[in-house]
Amino acid sequence: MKALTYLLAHRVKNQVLDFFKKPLHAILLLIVVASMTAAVVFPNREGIAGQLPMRNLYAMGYGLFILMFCLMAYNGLGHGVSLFSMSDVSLLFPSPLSPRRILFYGCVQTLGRYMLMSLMLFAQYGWMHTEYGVEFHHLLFVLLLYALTCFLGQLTAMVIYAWINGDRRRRRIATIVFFGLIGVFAAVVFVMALQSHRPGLMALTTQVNKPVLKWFPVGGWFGAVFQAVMSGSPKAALPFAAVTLAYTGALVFLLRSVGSGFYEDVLDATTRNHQAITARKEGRVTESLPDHVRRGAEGLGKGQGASALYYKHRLESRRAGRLLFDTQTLILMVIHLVFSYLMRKSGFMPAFAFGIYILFFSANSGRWVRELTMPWVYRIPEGSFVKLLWCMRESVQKLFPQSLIMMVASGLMTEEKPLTIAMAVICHFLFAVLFMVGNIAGDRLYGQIRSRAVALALYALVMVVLMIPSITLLVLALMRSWVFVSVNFTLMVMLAAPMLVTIPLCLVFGRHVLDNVEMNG
Amino acid sequence: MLEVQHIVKAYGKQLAVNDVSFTVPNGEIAVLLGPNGAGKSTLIKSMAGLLRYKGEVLINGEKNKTAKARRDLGYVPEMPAVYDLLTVQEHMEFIARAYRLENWEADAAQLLERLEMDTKAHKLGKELSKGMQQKLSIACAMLPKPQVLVLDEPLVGLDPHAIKELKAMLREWRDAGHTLLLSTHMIDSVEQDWDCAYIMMLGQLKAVMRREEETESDTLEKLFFRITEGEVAEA
Repeated sequence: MKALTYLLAHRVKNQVLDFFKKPLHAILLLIVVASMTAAVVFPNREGIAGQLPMRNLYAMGYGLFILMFCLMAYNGLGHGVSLFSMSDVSLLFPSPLSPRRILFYGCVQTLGRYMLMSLMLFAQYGWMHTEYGVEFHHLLFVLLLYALTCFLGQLTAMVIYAWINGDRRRRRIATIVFFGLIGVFAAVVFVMALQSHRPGLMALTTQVNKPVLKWFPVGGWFGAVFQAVMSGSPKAALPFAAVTLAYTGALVFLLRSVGSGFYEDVLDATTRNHQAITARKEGRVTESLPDHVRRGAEGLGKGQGASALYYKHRLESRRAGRLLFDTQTLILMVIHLVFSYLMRKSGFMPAFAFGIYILFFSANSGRWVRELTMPWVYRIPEGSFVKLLWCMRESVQKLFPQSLIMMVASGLMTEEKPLTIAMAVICHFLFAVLFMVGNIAGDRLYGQIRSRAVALALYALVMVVLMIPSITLLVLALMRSWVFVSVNFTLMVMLAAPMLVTIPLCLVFGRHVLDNVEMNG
Repeated sequence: MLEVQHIVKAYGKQLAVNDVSFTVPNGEIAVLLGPNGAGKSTLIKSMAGLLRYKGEVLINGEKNKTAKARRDLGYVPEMPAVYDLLTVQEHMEFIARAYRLENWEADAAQLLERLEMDTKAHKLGKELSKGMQQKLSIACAMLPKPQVLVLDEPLVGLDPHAIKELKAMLREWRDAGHTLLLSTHMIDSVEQDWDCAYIMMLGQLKAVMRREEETESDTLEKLFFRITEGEVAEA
């Protein structure tokens, strides 16, 4: 067997065997497969298949493919991307194997990785089938398009990075072209949507379906292919498939023409990937930082004992350029604002509920989570509970402005009463704190479980349990038709009141979490 | 004084440390030797109070999880753990504040100078090389002047000058009455700088040799290979 085929086959085989060595993985896989099978074999019969306009589905397809392509290709402007692992770099690159074969091997393994990642879209099958009549073979096609989009995005990033080759002028040109292209397409769609005089979401989905977006590189082509296949006219997909083939050929040709020169182009990205993987294996949480950190004034200035942790966090956040929110939180807040605007006709509650949902991703991204992966916080000779409170303080302080901005903005968009908005801010903030302390309480329960997926599932379960008192009170209020100020206000009071008890209880339950590393996995 | 009493640490069914006991008195340098995977780092992490275990670790007679014992025990981890966004000097300040140290500035300056880090005082953690990070990690552990200092593979990644200086510092600390325990899997790296050696293998303490017991025909190195290679052959 040829060396690269042997390597690829054995890596895949060992990965599969390794997966099944862990019983928790096997159970998790069984649950996922069972739910996928159930979704496919017993789709929801209550809904009427295809009851929503297909233009919405096509718009989502365009959005997904274009977003994924842009996110992947954007890496070419920075540190590049790599189709290879560190072991490929150390063992394959110095070997006498042809660089072209090695490139092909890298392409195959990357495509395989994205195919595997695309399986997560299976979870969306239920509603896609019910609302838009998407069949199973359509879904498989979506998975393929998704994997190809990511793959071509990565290949594009490699070509951009190789072309820039560390030259500032070229980087500027590439950046202008990249964002210029996105800006032109976005402006055209936005202006056309404004001119259509339709409600926000409808105008947007209608314009996205117009021919202009079909010509956005890769993402637009695949959106068009998806639309053609779904609408039962596969012939319409042929020009876009042909363009994709030509584009892929051109990318591979460009990369092949540099011979083994691409080795250098992937080195930086491979090293960074490797460092990130190593950090993850060692349980460290890495932070994406600017290449050149502005130090500013030096020194913590304040803090004694456990409080030194808080002043250190403030200093670190200033250096990271994150006085208030990190990038992930900012993106989520913008998404929430857009959602609130598009859904403003449906009232305040959808925006409020979406704001709570977002907390699942943002509430535990603070500096305190990173602190728990370092040994110092455990070694500081102070009580565990005091250290925990000082450790969390900086993150909690940032949650309130987040709740304030999100709830006030969506409240104003939906013309909600000021008192209800104020209650929404409090309720949202309490939810954010609950998500944090729920994490701590959960760590005390399942901190020793090493599988991330299982830990996440258990975290979700803990959160559901913690919300039972709020949900019970909410149902009671609805059944008894209790109303103070307004229905929305009443619902929020019912949600918030039990959290005044559950939050301190969680903190007390998790007070020993800093006694040793194993308390939080 | 460092007392380790019947430490057992298991990961699931696998025993990483199996009933290990020893005592290192004040004014001694003890070395913990053993091949890769012998359980040295797990034992040291247990001593530092980072892991859960069965048994007892006493620092000057206090259980190692108490605030007093934490203050009296310094720990240099195997992998240097420094903060990316803090400068070297700020690491010193952070430790001084967290341990409530007073008049620490001169000690910090001396430590950094001896470890050749004084010129890097304003460098961020993320800008340091692996060796520099290791030196900073050592300086952070030494700044509170703990009575007991435990170092996990402290010489890995250090340049020859830093190794020489660190060994000199350890000898000075021993002479000042501190208790020192350092682990290594490279027997020749400890040379003559030890008073007592503990050899671990497969999670168990297999042999103890005091410095004065070493003879030309029965050296620490010979004992080490007799134990480790003998165990391998048995396995």
